[in-house]
Amino acid sequence: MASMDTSTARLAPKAARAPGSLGTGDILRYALASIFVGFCLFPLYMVLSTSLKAEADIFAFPPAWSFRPIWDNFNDALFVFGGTGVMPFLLNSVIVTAASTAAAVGLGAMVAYGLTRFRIRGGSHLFFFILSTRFAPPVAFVVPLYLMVRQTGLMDTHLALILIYTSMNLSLVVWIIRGFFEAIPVEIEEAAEIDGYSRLQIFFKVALPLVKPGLITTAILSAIMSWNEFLIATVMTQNKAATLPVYLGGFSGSMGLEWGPYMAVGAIAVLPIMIFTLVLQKHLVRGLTFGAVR
Amino acid sequence: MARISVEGLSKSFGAYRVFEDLDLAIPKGSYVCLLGPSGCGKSTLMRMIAGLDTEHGGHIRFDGKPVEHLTAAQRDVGMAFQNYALYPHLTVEGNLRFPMKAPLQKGRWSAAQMTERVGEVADLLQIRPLLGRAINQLSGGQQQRVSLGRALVRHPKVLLLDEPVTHLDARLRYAMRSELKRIHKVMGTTTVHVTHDQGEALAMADLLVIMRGGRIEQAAPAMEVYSDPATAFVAGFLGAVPRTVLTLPLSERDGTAGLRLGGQHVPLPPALVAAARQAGGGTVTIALPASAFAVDPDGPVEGTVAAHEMIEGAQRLVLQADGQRVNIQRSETAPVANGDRLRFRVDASEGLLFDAATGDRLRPPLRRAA
Repeated sequence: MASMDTSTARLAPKAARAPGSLGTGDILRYALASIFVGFCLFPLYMVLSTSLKAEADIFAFPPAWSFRPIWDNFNDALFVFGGTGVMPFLLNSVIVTAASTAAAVGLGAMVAYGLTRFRIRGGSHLFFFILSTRFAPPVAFVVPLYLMVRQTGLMDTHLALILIYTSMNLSLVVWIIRGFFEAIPVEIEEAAEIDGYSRLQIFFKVALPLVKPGLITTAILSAIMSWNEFLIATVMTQNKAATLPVYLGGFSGSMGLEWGPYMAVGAIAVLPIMIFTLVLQKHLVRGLTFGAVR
Repeated sequence: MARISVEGLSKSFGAYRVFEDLDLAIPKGSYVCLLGPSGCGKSTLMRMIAGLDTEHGGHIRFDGKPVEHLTAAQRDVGMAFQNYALYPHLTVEGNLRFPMKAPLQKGRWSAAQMTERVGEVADLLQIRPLLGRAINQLSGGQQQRVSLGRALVRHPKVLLLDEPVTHLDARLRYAMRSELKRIHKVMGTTTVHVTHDQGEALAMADLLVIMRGGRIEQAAPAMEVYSDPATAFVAGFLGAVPRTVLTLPLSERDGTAGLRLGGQHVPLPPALVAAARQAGGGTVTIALPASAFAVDPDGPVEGTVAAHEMIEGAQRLVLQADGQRVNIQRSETAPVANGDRLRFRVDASEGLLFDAATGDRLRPPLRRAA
């Protein structure tokens, strides 16, 4: 209802022009936007189209815009290469991404809540400190992390990547969700206190539902980061816990470059995170707290 | 229903002292209004009764039992917030059920009882058609009813209302006043209502508590506070045209005692003279109703117009005389401008006297005995 109202209100001024016609400014805007969108999507198109091409079509120049799609590359990627194909790596990626995202969002929400709702000595310094963990480029941490992982016997395990990704995502989660918690009027939580709820119950039953958009936003960002991370994954894992980017990276070296299967693995790597993002995006209900308090 | 007693309450925020040794007794089942200018501590006092602010000295008791060590949840109070503070992720019904579903209430309400109680409260507040609505689909007045319903729903011992109708428009505010009184009559719950609107407080309170600067100036039935103020502040605080409060030196002329205003002698009735003398004389504070002053070209005192406005057909003037402000009301509406000089008469017979230093009431000793 509410969204319908605002959309008609926004469209109203355009009704002055004949419906369906565009001004010069609009045409220019759309043209620029189209070029930019094309620029962004072209690599994805190349990955998907190449993954469906036969070898001859892949190397055709100029590139073949129309071709007979084949599934051989996917068959190779899934079942042939390395005797096992892409599946174990896909599974590793799913485990590491799901666990580190859940941990980062769960812990991050608790940290952010604690730091916004309780007066803690040096709380604002703590916030800055949390953000400062992101100041140095990740490559600076690779050697110390490698030593830590080796010493603790976590080499080539899921747990190593889960712990590292969680700590890398945590600062982002804390900073974004803090803003959402600060937007909740404190009276709503006081009302719950009077209604008979403990602080922990208020966190779960009142505060968390109200920052759902923040949880979803940070879950998407964390998951994308964990899913695509290459540098640390390639150092900390060899085989057992290697994720998709590691598998993709190893492609070129081991068996020359077979573009077709390579792109098929690429397509397999893109699709899950894309679906995850699209599904969650639907739940990004904005303005949930609007009208709660005057 | 509970009797509330506040004993020796003290509170400070850092170096700033909000209360020092505050006492207040609220009888069981009464409707109490805490009234005072902003910053007087009325909301802080309510938050302490609620248990939202527990860092304080002194005692708060419900029915004689101390509650300072109890959390807000354990005190069994209901509270309606100034900004309603409804749960935006729940429907109206969800909001009303929320207090009954609290872990502390476990086992007290069966599912059927909850549904029945939600229905009762919805009928009492006339919000039954809204039960399925989301909170952001409600008007301000509807939200106010829901927040009241949420506060009432589990039969709390004490109902706390923090400026509950302040955000409503004038007509709705007026309607909600009688509504609140009706609900109080039905429920009988001890109710504490914080407001800065004196009309609201005078209309609603069984017991009116006037606060200023963290002190209770007077706690008494509304009419008594209005007609028999205990301090100079209260005398000058209430009413659309508040009493004029002047601090003046005592003077004597032709054997009659009086006060000096604008170089003129204003005679005092004998009872007040006795009260003033008993307090030691010198300077006293007197509160006079608007009717004590009349603009008169032959009047003894002259003042400068500092402000003027029309209130319901009458002209209200604020005159500056001797560096003090005098409120005058007159029905004829001659044009005036700020800075005009007007002469006026003073009749001190309806005056109330207060100690110039403490602001406490000086009562004529004989009249009390009679």
